[in-house]
Amino acid sequence: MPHTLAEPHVLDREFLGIRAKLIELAATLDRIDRTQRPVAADPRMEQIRRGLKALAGETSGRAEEILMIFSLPYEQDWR
Amino acid sequence: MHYFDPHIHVASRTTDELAAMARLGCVVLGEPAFWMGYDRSSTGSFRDYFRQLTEWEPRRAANYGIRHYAWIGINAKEAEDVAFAREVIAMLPEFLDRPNVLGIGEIGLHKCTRNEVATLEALIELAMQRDEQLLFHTPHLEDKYKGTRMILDLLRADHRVDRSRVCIDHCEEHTIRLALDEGYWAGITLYPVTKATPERAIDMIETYGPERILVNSSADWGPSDPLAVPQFMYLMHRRGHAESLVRRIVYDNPLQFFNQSRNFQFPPAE
Repeated sequence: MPHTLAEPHVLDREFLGIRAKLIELAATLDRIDRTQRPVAADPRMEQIRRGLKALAGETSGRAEEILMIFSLPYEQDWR
Repeated sequence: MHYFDPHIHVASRTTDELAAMARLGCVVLGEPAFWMGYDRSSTGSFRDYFRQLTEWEPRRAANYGIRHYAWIGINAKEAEDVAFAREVIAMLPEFLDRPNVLGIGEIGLHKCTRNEVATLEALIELAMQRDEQLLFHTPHLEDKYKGTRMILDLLRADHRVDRSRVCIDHCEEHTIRLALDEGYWAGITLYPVTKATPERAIDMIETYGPERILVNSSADWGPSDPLAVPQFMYLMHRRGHAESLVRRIVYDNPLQFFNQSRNFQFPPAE
């Protein structure tokens, strides 16, 4: 059974943290853009792009969705 | 509030850190056998390590009033050489009856190879023969989802497994439901970069409830925090969660899980 968050002002508490993380992420991507090594074709960049798209989604479960983007596929008949 | 750290590698930590854990309320810790950062060259190295976990570390922790329990096994990173792993597995019964040993762990998969699976099947077989509790390491990063599913497939195929005596550790948002839905305990490891932060661990507890969930620091020689469990407790309180819920996660749950081991005695019978 879900245990709802007792503290009601979640956005108030988290806003500055979210702001800082988004800026940090943006600055990191800018840093990658400034490097000489072309990374556009690197498959990790595609994972990052898909992760950012998931982050901007409207539905809950973003953390699980992003983890799955960075996961190898499971094959049911692996044995 | 007293707490357990049910998964921490104190062999890799200092006595100052043990003292800090004790000051913040740690009364029991669980130390699984793991990869020490390098592959061991002989079974003798494993024997010495198992002696460390069952002789020296319990005494070191006791100096700070902490009860030390251990899990004995061969980790997935050293499981690729199946013949060597079988030699180590043959040695395990020497240690499994020692008074601080909870069961076989941490065992599991790393890169999910055929050889790792063969070693893991041998370890599960030993556990079933001896009625041991099991602690599973699930792989890192991109291998975690696949490896967790494979471990659950192996366990599901063995009808002797009592799921209430098995912990699937290092769960994250994409694997925790898999473990809980099948009746296992789910461990959440509080790490600064990989695995889960204390904040995300609390999110998972808010989503799935406190039943069969353990949180641990898994602090070792890498980036990790031996005080991650008290940090988790502080953040639970800060979010407004009841004292009873915090206590359930960090004390009652690990007590319930550890109590299923024949060697676990807490409070100590003295």
